Amino acid sequence: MARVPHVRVEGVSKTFGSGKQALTALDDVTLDVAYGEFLSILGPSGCGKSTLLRIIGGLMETTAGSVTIGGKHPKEAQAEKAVGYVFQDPALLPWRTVKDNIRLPIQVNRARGGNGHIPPEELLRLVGLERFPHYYPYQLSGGMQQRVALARTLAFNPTLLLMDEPLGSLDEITRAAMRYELLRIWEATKKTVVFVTHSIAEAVILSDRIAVLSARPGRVVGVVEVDLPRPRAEGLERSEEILRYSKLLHALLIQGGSHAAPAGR
Amino acid sequence: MAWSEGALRGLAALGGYLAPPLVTLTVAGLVWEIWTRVRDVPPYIVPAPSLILTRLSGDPGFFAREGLVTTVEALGGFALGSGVALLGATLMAHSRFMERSLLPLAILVKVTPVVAVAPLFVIWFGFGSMPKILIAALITFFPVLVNAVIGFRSVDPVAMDFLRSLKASQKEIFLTLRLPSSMPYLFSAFRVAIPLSIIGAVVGEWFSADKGLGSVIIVANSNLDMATLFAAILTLAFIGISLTVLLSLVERRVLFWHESALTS
Ligand SMILES: Nc1ncnc2c1ncn2[C@@H]1O[C@H](COP(=O)(O)OP(=O)(O)OP(=O)(O)O)[C@@H](O)[C@H]1O
Ligand SMILES: [Mg+2]
Repeated sequence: MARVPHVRVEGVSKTFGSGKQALTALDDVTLDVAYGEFLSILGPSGCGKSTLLRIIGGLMETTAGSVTIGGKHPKEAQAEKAVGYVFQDPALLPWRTVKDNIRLPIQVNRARGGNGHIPPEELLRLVGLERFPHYYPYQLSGGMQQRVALARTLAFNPTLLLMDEPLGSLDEITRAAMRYELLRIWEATKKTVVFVTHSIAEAVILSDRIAVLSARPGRVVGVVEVDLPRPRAEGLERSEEILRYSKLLHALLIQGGSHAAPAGR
Repeated sequence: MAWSEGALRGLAALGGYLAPPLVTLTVAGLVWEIWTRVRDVPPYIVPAPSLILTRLSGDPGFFAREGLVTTVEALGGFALGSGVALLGATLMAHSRFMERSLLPLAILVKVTPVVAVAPLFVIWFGFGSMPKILIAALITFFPVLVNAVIGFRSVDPVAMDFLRSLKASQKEIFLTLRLPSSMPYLFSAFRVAIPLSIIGAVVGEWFSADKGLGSVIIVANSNLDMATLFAAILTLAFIGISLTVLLSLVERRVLFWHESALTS
């Protein structure tokens, strides 16, 4: 299959502020993401991962360079409801039930229906919350809330998922379980995913490719292809392969100016 | 069995809730009563509580009628003032330009002494309930405006990003995110604005009325009828407390999701 890029990031730079206070967060980042690909962006804290994702998602303008999604400007992709964002913070609306939270994206911007809707019941089954449609967010655990946030983003069937450390606020055990759940959901929906993380193991387990960013200003130090068969089995984090990839990625992170990236996770 | 036990516990809780203020009020009333008797204070200076209560119970229909007039004016003014404030706040929350243009006007309204404009309103709007409603509206306007502007802006930035990533319209963002987020702020404002609206209605009645507790107070004052005056004040306090309790009940229903409800 020819690699037609779904997301094309070309020479993107981003500088915040001006004059003495200018801060360059991203420096000439170029990156392609193929249709249906799972790409992770790995880098130390503050290197501009969230900034890059916000630019791809059309929430922020570039200082230089350009981004296209399916050949279109990110704003246009937004208008077509083609971009699904999942943030580290679930940010559910506390006055809405789980089901009504999932309906939110369907209720706004109706004119451009996007790719059709997935019924809330089906989504709740997908994320394993079929028994909780009438619960309010404050009655759910952090992990459950994050699943609702994922279901909410899947509800309008976006073709591209942008995930900014969606598992970052979870404890280690829940996080490990959610990884495989995420994989299962991704394999069931076959969407393009750009996934931000600073966990090496997480990046390897989930991704087709991993783009490693340098410490600020973020530049692409290298892109690693993860050649592990799919579907990826649980318990992968303890395998030999992970260790091999971890060493490779760790070396890239150090090369990019990271000080003490743990080789483990 | 379980039901009656629950009911009993509910009653006990209510009693525990009401007991402290009732005890305070009773003690204060008793001290007041004893003081007026021991010092032989003349009733046209300070009437004894027993005298006030006798006046109230002697003609409860009168105080209820006059109280109703004042309540309707106050609530009318509260609704009008809050409505205009919410409209203004909606404009101001969406545009800094609007905020900068409207804020001086709002502050002008705020710093204008109500007693100064009350006679003017009577000249402009006559002796009916209109000037009272307007005065009540005038003093409820500012606190609601200020809180609403802050409330409409105090939204979860991540939820905002999510809606923006869907290209939700400003109107959709307002209805699904800004307005519900502002509810805690709005209720705080209402809790201040409701007593203010009663004060506004009473002040309005001072300047032109033959109806309402404000006019009762003025007439009683000129007759040195302190028992009636204090009875009117007591009725006003009762109205204020009732409306505030009512508001709290609504608030508890609307803000069930908010920290203030979850932590108490
Ligand atoms: N709106 C902004 N205004 C000014 N500076 C910003 C803004 N957003 C981000 N920055 C700066 O840009 C740099 C990159 O931030 P970014 O949030 O993209 O990092 P990150 O890689 O996502 O970090 P983390 O892993 O901690 O989430 C940081 O130094 C940050 O201070
Ligand atoms: Mg980040």
